[in-house]
Amino acid sequence: MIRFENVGMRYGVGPEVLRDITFRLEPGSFHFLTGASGAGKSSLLKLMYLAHRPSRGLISIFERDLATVPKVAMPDIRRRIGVVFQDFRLLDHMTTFDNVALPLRVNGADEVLIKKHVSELLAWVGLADHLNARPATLSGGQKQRVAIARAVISRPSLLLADEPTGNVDNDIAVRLLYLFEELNRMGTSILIATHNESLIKRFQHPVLHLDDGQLSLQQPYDLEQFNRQNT
Amino acid sequence: MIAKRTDIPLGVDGSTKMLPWIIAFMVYIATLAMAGGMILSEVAQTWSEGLTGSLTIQVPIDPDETDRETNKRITNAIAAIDGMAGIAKINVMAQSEIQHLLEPWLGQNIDPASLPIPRLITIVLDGDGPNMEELHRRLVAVIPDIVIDDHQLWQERLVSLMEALQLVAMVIVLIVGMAGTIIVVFATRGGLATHRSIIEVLHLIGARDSYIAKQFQTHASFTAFRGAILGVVFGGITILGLGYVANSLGGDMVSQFVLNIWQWLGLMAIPFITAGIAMLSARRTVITALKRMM
Repeated sequence: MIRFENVGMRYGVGPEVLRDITFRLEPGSFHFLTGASGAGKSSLLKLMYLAHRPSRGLISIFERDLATVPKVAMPDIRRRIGVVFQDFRLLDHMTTFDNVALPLRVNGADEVLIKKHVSELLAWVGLADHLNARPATLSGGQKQRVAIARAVISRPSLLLADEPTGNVDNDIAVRLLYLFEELNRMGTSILIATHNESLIKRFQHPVLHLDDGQLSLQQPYDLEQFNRQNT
Repeated sequence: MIAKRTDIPLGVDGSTKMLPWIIAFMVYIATLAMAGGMILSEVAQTWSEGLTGSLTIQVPIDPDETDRETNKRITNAIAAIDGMAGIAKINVMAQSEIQHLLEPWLGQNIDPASLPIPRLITIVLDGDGPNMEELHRRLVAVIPDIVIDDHQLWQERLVSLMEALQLVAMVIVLIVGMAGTIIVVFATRGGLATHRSIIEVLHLIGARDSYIAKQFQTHASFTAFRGAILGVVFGGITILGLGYVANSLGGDMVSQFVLNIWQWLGLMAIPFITAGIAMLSARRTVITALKRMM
């Protein structure tokens, strides 16, 4: 599903923030992405959700080499990727409902279906009473749930989440992870960048670890190693 | 929830709030220029039609000559050309008529005896008119210093003047159109910069460039349409006002300062054309800018 080969990335003319990244995510896989702050987790995610180009190497997503994909085909690839941004990136002028409905509307979905699916999903994440609320009136945890709902509403083939449980309490975090697992069982590949050690321990999925711009795959989960790497 | 929903809140931009007013002002100028061009075209055509199909013959006055002698020379001239093919009617203009024509320049109290005002013979042509060389030869044989004015020079100068004025009107419309387009382009670029974060989100969730451009072009066309309506309405009121003033002044020339129904319809098309231009300008600007994004 996703293949990185010797990928490097830099911002402008700065130093490489990612170096020689090589890994492969299979369809239906579930991974955590860990690493200390500044290790390059968000940069790696940016490459995966097509917000940035690599400075070198090969990236293949959904069996398509990004170097040869025409710009006009990029939206179709992006529509198969759900993203939960660390800073949520909710649209402040829209209601909760409209924020979550956005990917469906962009995709030209029928409004009746949009209403049904969005209402159901928002109820599931505990925001049924906030359909018409603006992001500015929501708490951090509520915004995060809206961001997650927006990322999963169109049942993407790949879900990338950057610290999706950073602003919610542990109970909600666990619930969200169950939601991700449910999506995973339905065929969505999941990659979650997180510092949440208890979640990693509880949900027992392979961990991609970034250290100073370089990636390694760890499996099974090793708590002691995790603690050493994230301190 | 669905009606009038836009993903990009372009309507609340402070930078574009003045846009309808700017467009209204520019359309106002364009409307006046267009109306001016139409009226000039109409005036030129009317004048030209009035002059075509007639000839004027000037019989110079000899100060030592009596009225009777002058009238005899005129009668001889008429006799020389009477019956020629291409002449429908020959008319000697009365002194009072000539005085009336000269009133705007010389005032009402003209003493014909004190001025060497030539006598005028008007000829209404039939079809393509007479053979001019033959006409000239016959008249010169009777009155050597006679002047034949077929209005050709006057017509050419008039047409040239009107064409130049129409060109000026067209250039004004063109400049206003270009300036309006540039304003829309800059407003669109401002909107792109202001809402960059929203556009990035739309892009990342899979919105096509055309989807994003549609939001800008819809906003630009509605804004331009609103402004253009205002400009055309005020332009129309001004034209009606000028027409009223011109009519109250009297005279054949100024009384033509009115538009016909088709010309009014032409002016009413301006808001639609403005909206179309704004839409295309905004779309092109957005698509060009988005091409630079991944």
